[in-house]
Formats: sequence, C-alpha cells, structure tokens
Amino acid sequence: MSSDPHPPKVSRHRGSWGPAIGVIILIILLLAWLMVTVVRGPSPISYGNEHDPSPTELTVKQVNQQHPVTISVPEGPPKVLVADPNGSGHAIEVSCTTCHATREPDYKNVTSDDLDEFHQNLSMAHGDLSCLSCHNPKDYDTLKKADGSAVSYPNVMQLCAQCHQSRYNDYQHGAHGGMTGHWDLSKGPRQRKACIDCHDPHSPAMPKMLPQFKPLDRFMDTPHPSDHQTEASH
Amino acid sequence: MSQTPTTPTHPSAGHELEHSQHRHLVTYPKFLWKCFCAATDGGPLFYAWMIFLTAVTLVGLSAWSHQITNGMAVTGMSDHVSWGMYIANFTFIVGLAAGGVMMVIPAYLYHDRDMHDVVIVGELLAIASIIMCLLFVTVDLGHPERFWHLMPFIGRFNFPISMLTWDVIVLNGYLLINLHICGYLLYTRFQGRKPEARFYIPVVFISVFWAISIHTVTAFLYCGLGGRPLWNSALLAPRFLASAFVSGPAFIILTLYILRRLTDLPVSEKAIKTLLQILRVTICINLLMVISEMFTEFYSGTAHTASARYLYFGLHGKDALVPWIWTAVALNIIAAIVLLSPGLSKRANWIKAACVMVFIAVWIEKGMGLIIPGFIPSTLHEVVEYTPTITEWKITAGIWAFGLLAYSASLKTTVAIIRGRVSNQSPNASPQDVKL
Amino acid sequence: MPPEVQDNNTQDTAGKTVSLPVIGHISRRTALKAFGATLGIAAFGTAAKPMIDKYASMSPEEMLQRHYKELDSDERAAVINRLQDETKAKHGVDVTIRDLPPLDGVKYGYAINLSVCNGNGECMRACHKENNHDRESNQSYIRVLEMKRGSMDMEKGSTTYTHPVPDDDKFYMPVQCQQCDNPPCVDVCPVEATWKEKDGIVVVDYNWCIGCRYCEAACPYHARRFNWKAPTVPDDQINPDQGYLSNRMRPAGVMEKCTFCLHRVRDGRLPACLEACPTGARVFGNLLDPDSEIRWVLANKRVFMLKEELGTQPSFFYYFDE
Repeated sequence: MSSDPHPPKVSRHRGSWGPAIGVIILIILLLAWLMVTVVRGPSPISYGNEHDPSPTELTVKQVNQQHPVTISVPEGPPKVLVADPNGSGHAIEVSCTTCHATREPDYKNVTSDDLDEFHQNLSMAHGDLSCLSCHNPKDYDTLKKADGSAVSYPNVMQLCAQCHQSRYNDYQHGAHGGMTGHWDLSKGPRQRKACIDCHDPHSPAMPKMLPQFKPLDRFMDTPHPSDHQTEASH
Repeated sequence: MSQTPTTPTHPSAGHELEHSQHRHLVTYPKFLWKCFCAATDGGPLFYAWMIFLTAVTLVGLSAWSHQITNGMAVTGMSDHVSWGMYIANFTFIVGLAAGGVMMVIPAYLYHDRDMHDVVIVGELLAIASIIMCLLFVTVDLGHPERFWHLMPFIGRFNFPISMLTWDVIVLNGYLLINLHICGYLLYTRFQGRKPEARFYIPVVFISVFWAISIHTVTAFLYCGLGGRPLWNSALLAPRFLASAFVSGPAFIILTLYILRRLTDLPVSEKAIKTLLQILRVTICINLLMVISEMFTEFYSGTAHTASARYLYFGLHGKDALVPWIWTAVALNIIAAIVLLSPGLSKRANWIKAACVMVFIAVWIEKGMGLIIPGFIPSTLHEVVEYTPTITEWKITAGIWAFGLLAYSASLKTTVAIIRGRVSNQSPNASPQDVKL
Repeated sequence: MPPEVQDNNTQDTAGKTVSLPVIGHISRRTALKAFGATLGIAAFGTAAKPMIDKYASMSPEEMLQRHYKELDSDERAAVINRLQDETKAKHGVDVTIRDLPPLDGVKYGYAINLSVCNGNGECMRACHKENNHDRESNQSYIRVLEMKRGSMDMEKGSTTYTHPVPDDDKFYMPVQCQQCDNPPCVDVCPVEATWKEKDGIVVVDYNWCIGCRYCEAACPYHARRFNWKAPTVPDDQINPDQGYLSNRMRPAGVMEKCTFCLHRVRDGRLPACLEACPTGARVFGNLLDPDSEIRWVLANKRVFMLKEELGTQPSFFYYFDE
C-alpha cells in the first residue's frame, strides 16, 4: 500500500512466517488424513452384517426354500390339425401315431426337403440331425434318446441335455435361460423357461430380432443403422 | 460490492490500546457508508459503465430465473457432457483469482516498492473472481436452494473425501483472507493510521499459499477422476497454476493501464514491468506444459487419447472444438512472441494486445478446451457434442458483468481512499471526484 | 450475488431518504440516483420473479427435509405420505412408496452372458417402464453397446444401431450401474446424497441431492442420469409399485441411477431387466450365498469386469460361454 512507506522490517516478517508454516502443516495433516481415508475406503461402506466378509464367513444362512422353482413343460405329445377324413369339413386334431401307425419309418428322410407329403413347411436346421434322431419310430407320441429309450414330450429337456450337456449344466445352475419371479426363494416362487420356449427344436438358433427400444438422449444422434450393417444388408 | 464484504474483517482493530472499542463502532459504519458513496458516485463514463454492467447482470439473473423454473433442460448439457460453460468459466476464473498472488509475492516477499503501491489491485481481483466462481458453481446446481446441504455441521459435508468440499473450503477461505487484507488496509488508510503489520502481514503470507491451494484443489477436482483420461494427469495441477499465472498477471496489467488512464492512482512503469517479467516466464512454462501434454497423448497413441484427438482434430466427424483450440494455440504463440521480442515488448499497445490475446487463449484452453473434451467421448465412448444455449451465454455474461461490477466499484472506492478523497476527516467525498 | 445488488440499491434509496433532512434539499444528482436505484430494484424484481415464485410455492417441509439417514421411522413415513399425496395430486394415481431396508446377509451381484445377449434392447424397455422414466427421451439406466468381435475397444462400438440383431460380426454388451465396491461417484459427492447400502446397492436421496453432477463426471460407466427436467410419464403408465430410494417419481434437477430395482430385489424379486431379457442372458443373485446362481457363474465361467483397471471393484460381471 502506498500508505505504508516503510514496509515492515524483515525481522518483523520472520516472525510472521509462523502462521504460514502452521497452515502448511495443517494442510499436510489434512492431506494425510485424506489419503488414509481414501486408501481405507469410506467407513460407511461395509458388507455382510457388521464386518467385512472373509471367505470362511461367506457361508450365510441356508435359504429356506419354501417356494418352488417351476419349469414350464409342454403338456404332452403334439397334435396335428388335419382335415376330417370322414369328410365333415371340420379340421380335427390327431395325434402323431394316428398317421404314423400306418407308415413305415423311413430313415433316409433327413430334412423336410426329403418329404413328398406332410411336414414340408417345417424348416429344419439342427446340426446334422435327422427326424428320427429325436422322434421315436416305435412310438411317435414320444421322443427317443440316443440309446433308443423313449422320452415323453414333457421331459423333452432330457433329450436336449444328452447333446447340450454343458449348456444343460449352465441351465441347472441358473446361468442359462430366462426366468421370472423371485431370486430369493424364501420370499416367493420362480418360473423358468424350458429349452423349447426359446429355441425351436427343429431350428434352435435364436432368430434375429429388431431392436425396437433405443435411447433418444438429448443432443445424441438419432439411432441409425451402423455403416457396416448398411453395407452388409445391401 | 466493495464495502459489504468488509463486514467480517478485523474486529482485531479493537485490540489497539489507543483506540477504544467505542470509536470503531462509530468509525467503521462511517467507513462502510463512505465507501458505498464513493462506489456509487462518479462521472458519466463511470455511470455508463456501471449501468451497462448492471443491465447485463440483470439479463443474466433473468436467464437464471428461467433456468430454475424450467430446469437445466434449457442448457446445452446432457448426460454425456454433464458440465459445460459454467464449470469451464469457473475453472478459468479460479485461475484468475489465484493469479493475483503474482503481485503479492513481489510486493511482500521481495519488498518491491512499486508493486507494493498497487498490490491491492490484485487482491481486489481475487475477491471479485472468487465471487464469480461461487456464482458459477451456484448456477450449475440443479437445486441451488439446497445449498445449505453443503454447509459444514448444518448439512452433510463429505469432508475430506469429496474434493468439492475442499474446494468449498479453500475458495471461501481465500475470499475471507482477501476481504480481511483489503478491508484492513483500506480501513486504516481511511482512519489515517499506518496499518499494523501483525494484523495483516501473516495473513498475506497465508494468502500466498492459499492462492496456490485454490488452484491445486480445483485441478484435483478433475485429475482425481480415473474414468476421464484427459483429466487424469498429474500435470493438470501444475498446468492450472502455470496458466493461472498467465491469465492473472495479463488481466492485472490491463487493469493497471486502465487505472493509469482513468484515475489518479500512481501506477509506476516498474510495477507493470515486473508483471511483464513474470508473464514472460509463465507463458513459456504454460506452453511447455501444453506441448508435453500433447506429446504424451499423441506420441504414445494409446486409446486414452480419444479426447485429445477430439479436441485438436475432431473425432468421428465431430469437431466443434477444433477451431477454438487452434485459435487458443495461435494466440498463445503470438502473445509469447510479442512478449519475448525485445522490440515489441517495449511498446504499450503491443503489450496490451498480447495481454488480451493471452487472456482469451487461456480462457479457451482452460475452459471449453479442458472441461468439454473431458466428456467427449463419453465413458462408453459415445461422441455427443456440446453447444451452449443462449440461456447459458446470458447467465455467463451476467456473472462476468457482476464480477466486473464488483471489481470496478471496489477499485473506484480503493482509489478514492488511497488518494485521500475518502477519509475519516473528509466531509463528503463524491462531488470533488471529478476525474471519473 | 444478484440479491446483493438489490440490497445495496435498497440501502441506497433508504439512505438517501434518511439523509434528506440533514442535507436540507435534494440535489439533482441525488434524485437521479434514487430514480436509477428504484428502476434497478424494479428490474431486479421482474427478472427474479419466476424464481421467487417457484421457491415460494415449495412447502417448508420440502425445503427443510433432512438427509434420509437422519430421518427416524415416523419422519420417513410422513415424507412418504407427502410424496404419495403429491403424485396423487399431480397424476391422479394411487402409488405405494415403500422404504425397504437391506436384507441381512445379502449382497447383490449381477452377471451378463455376452455369448447369449443379442442386443435386442428389451432390458432397456423394461427398465424404462419399471422405473418411471421420462418417456420423451426413452430414458433407461441401461445402454447396450454393439462391439466388433475380437475387440474390447468401446470406441469402435455403437449404441445407436437399429438393424436386426445379432449382427454376425458383433457382440453386444449392456452397461448399467456396476454397484462398485469402491464407487467413485460416492466419493466425490460433496453432500453425501449418494451412498452404498449394506447390500451393495448405491442409492441416491433425491430430496438431498443438490444436482452438481460431480458423480456423473466421476462414474466411468455412464451409469448416472440427471433429470434435466421433471420426467414426463403418462398417468396411466405410472408404475405404482415404488421405492423411496429407487423408482418413485423424481423431481427435476437431481441425479438418479440403476438400483438393481431395489424395490423389487429387497422384496426377493428379480430385477425388471432380467425378467424382460428374451435371451436369458442375465444372472442375478446373492453374492454371499455360496449356492446362488451368481456364485456358480463366478466360480465356473471366465468372468471379467468392465474397466477393472480403474479399481472400482464392480459387483457386475460379464462372461462368455466359449
């Protein structure tokens, strides 16, 4: 300041370094505190009950599984709609054996392309399997495993499992397949999809889907087909 | 404005034996009142300037009112770029506040007489800047009416974990420190007394460290975020300081030229020279840091350079910031050449031009050039650009105008006190004050 | 602050008025100043009116409501009643807002099978509906990234694809809140408006958040959303099953985020996005239960965490079958 023609003497200044050094020490202490807190992580965050879970303590309550996990099952052997052979003009439902009882199984038929009547629209894309890999020629109202033993339609997952073992293993552990209901079975039941709810057994690959719900954020480009896809689809 | 902030200062004056408590009870309100009169009185140019600033402030206030009623949707920000103009300006102005310390260091640490005469200009700039900073943070809040949540003990102050709480402390602390220094010096001058060193010199020394801390902590706000590679750099805090010591002295040099022209404050050439010397050094350090940052980003070519690539060259066809940043780079380099060339740096007009250039350059580089690209691409690498809306421009202009209003009014008062037009003895200051 | 302008102006006028008798006469200068000050105050009042009106219309309970953790059960009940009444008044819908506590011995974990996910985006739709999100912006807490096979570089990814999925060349990665054990968003919040609950869910107190968006800058997963305006949801589409810390109607100007559908999972139910997934790619469960599905996935699949190098320690996992 101009009002201070004789700035305080140096000795005066030396004395006044005290507070400044004090502030520095304070700041260092605060920083140290911060580091300690950050490294430890903020105290309110803790898991389990009171203390951090160590592996031995991860046992946790054995859940009282009062509620069931239900897997959707097909009701029984499929029925086929055909014109009434008695000429009534109505369509009637017949079971597989109704027709197949009168026909010899033909092992040469691999896909629907090989058929000259019936089931011709069925698209078949399931690896190298042929019709009679799964359908039981001894009883068309059942399916058959690789060893020839019959499997009822409601138990179709057993048939899938014999080839897709690892996928079935995932399924059994809840790591594959859709579900609804409760994660906590002590609070309520859970419903699970069966293989054929999502996968058409004749053509099990999931079909392509059209994404219909896209974010419309502020100032974001409107969703558009990516360049790559435009090339590919043309 | 200038006199209101002085309220919390130095009850310490009461300790002096020769002055009774009673006397200050009369003198201090008188001081405040006379300051107020001096700040609201002047010539036509002064009135025109103040009315203009008030008008822009009111435009800003009206825009803020609009923003509060209609939500932050009136801004150009999004979940991708969630900070914009406000925080960019905040970051820049914290630097301006810290830059004032570049006058304090020569004046008090090196006993530079000429600087000592005008050092208060830097301290007043700090006060005005901190006010602007606090306003920029306030207008950026979705719920400014919940500001009390941020108060220690009343709300829930997440200290020391949140860097923002550190910033609250250092910014308000810096404001108080500078209010105390300026208030004390002006008050003693008003009384016609010599300021007592023990009441302000220790605080001045604290303010030196505090100035460094405000900008360091502000840099820590950003560089502590691991998910934002552009900011997550140890160079950020030093770079902030370097650029602060560019923009601060540049602005003060311009202020000193204006004061010399418009007021009777004795501004010595030597003070300006000292600031220019500082500027010559800091502008080079700042450029060096920009270059090292760019080298690290581009030479390594890691995936973390996406933001830098967006900033300097554009990314996936989006390049809104490219012209800005290259303007900043060009201005920086031109200003450096002017200031470092022996011929040009002796001419006042070239100096002024260089100061304006470097001020704008740092504003771009540290504001829009640092905050915005930190968000582009987003953490999931979506490239969504940001353009400030008219509301944001209005609010930003309003805050700048308010800051300049506070700065002008406080400079006006200060000059009047220093020149002895406003003092305990003077009957009425205003009518004689003809120059401005 | 702008209000100070007003204060000073008020002082100005008042001061001049008081000092009139002393001076004895009004100078032209003083009169002009008084006139200018009056004009200034009037302009100030006009400019600030919408803001003042807005705050004047807020109830004191709303203005002064304390932090969630500081409210006792009676106070929480009162707050919840107030919020339910507000929704009823505004939308004419009866909603139930519950404040379910964390379950003992439970810490939630979530995993997504990237071999199965085909990017159809039904999880986003389910989230959108369940959590009463803004209809105009198709807001949800999930973003699905389409990425090139053989690369984890998100920069080559896209969220805006609309072609039939899955593209043979691509894989799909839904990203939502990872409920980190070391959450940067919680660290940075200056007012403790967001915190990690005992069951691992990071929540936000919408009535305490000041809307500074520091958490949004800190989150490396783009998991946080800001209410740039109050979300618009048609009255008949409001999900009435609401949680205080999750999907209740949010005000403008506060942050929000995925809570693993806290109002469902603390009731033992599965999150909405899991139930909606047509490919069954999602696995949810209790990380502290060694027999849970999620623990089996962690033990038997090759699991990775997104941006693990950032040290956020997510409770959210990704895995491939092959």
